Amino acid sequence: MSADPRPDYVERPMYFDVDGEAVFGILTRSLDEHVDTAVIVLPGGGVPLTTNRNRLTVRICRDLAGLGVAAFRMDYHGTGESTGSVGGFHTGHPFWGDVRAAISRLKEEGLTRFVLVGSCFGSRTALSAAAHLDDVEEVLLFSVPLGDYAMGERKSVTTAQRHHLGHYARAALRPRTWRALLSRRGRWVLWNHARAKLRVIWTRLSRLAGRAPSSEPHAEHISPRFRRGLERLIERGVPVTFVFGDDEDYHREFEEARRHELGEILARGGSKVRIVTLPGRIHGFTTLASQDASLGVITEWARGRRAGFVPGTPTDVAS
Amino acid sequence: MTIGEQQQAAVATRVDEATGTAERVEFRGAGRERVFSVQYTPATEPVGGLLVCPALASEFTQNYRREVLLARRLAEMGFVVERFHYRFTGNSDGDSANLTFDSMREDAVAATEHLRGLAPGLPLFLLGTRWGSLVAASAAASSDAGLVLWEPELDTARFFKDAFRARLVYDRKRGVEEPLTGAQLIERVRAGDPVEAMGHTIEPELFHSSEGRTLEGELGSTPRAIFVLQLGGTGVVGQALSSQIDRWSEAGFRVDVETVKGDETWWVIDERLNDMGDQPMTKRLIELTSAWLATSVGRQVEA
Repeated sequence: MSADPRPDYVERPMYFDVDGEAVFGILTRSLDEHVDTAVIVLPGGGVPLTTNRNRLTVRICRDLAGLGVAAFRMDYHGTGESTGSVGGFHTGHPFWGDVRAAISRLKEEGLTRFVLVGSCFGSRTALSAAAHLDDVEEVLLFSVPLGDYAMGERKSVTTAQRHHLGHYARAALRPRTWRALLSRRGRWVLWNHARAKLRVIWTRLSRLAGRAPSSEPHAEHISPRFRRGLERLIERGVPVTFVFGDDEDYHREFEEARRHELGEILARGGSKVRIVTLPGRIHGFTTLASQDASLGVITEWARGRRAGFVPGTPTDVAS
Repeated sequence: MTIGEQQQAAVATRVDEATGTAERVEFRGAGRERVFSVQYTPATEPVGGLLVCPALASEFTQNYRREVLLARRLAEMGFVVERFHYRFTGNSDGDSANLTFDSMREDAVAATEHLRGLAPGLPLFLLGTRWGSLVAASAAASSDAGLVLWEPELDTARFFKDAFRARLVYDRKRGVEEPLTGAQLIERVRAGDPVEAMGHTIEPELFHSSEGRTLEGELGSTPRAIFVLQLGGTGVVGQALSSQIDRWSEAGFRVDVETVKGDETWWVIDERLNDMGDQPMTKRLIELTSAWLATSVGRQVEA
């Protein structure tokens, strides 16, 4: 135990209003430094809590405070300690209003500069918030999904986009598919696959017929919302760091898009766009290695910021 | 703001406009081991108190929202409720490596005393889910507090077995060539090495301090009211739990049991199973628990 009985940080829980709901968050800051920058940490939909898995967000916030950056972790409306309800998480409907309200609240604490760090659903929320809010100076996006889909439906949506009906016909002949019908979860998975394929077919037929697409987010390899958000940040010169695990679909999808649809946009960002590739899989932070590596990226970023570092090279940084 | 003022400000409060209930979030205690705690107080004269002892690791996050929603429901009904995160876990202070069964019991006992101060002279209950049931039982042992047990762990060994089995399945799924078995992992943690399970660390201190503990042993022999809720697909109470209930009943405990149908996979990482409180199972859990507690304090449950 250290001779100083106090922790190296001060934490302040707070509620703030988002459309009539009380959203909860905790602000962590160092004891003795004057701080004007706050990092807002936005969790994914898998563990949408101020703690995240294995207290990863708690560790991030306390480590950042130790590096002279204030950090704020929050429960979205309808999750954790917040009030309200959420039916689910959809990457096409990020909760950027929660972030807007958090920034307003943090300004009352004297914080004036904001950086958003998000993972999966949280990274889409970060991107969307940064695109809407001029207060956001920088974003770090971990395992950002490029498409629009409800949580847990990514596989069915990407399968529907990439495979023809023949793929489904062959799958229907496999005994494994029939066995899946015996369990509730299996039936749910099959239903999702069927529904996703039907939506893709419907979207494509609608386009052929010249009808405007539905206002609902629809199955697309790269969501128009994602593309627009990224373009806005590039136009504004907001530094964007993408972080992926080299063994996850999110990374493969991003690399494919980088070679094609997103290549020109990312190139326009120049040195303001940084892509960090970590070993293995980081989505969901389901291993200690992925947690430590991700924490390392964030603390390195904070050290670089303190040293006056300007986001880096457009090349990959392998750790 | 001075450091002292900042420490003072480490409290958040809100009053629900619709129900009049109040919530107070704070980091309680001093030094480097403060406990994250949330208290819920009713708008009316309190009728009883409930302390919620959370589960651990994956089970902690899985059950989080249910505990919040239960607390709010009970506060509406007149209960003072306290939720907290054990030191070295969640939002509380401290390094996870220092977590032990004894530190969890100490936290639960301290929270019970705090709750007693908020609801003096009123009937008290402790609720524990999974691992939390062992802590709740241990903290309740020296009093006559009633117990609510959601899918209780009958012994600590079961927790480690579930965690390590989930890791084995996950390792196989992601192509680990020779994944370690549960027995090998237990050997490793027993030898003093931290072990990983589904992105959580199982520390040797936790393992050693909890080894051999059982729900029955922790609770002791003082008869009390117990409400057991078993979750799962079958809607049938398991054999081991059923035998435990029989032994308590024979020893003069008043035990009520309910089963709640639904899918609950405490250690499986599957976004599709994420429960934000909107699942029928959660609603039923809250409904049954609040009805039992209301009956226990002689109140009728309001719809």
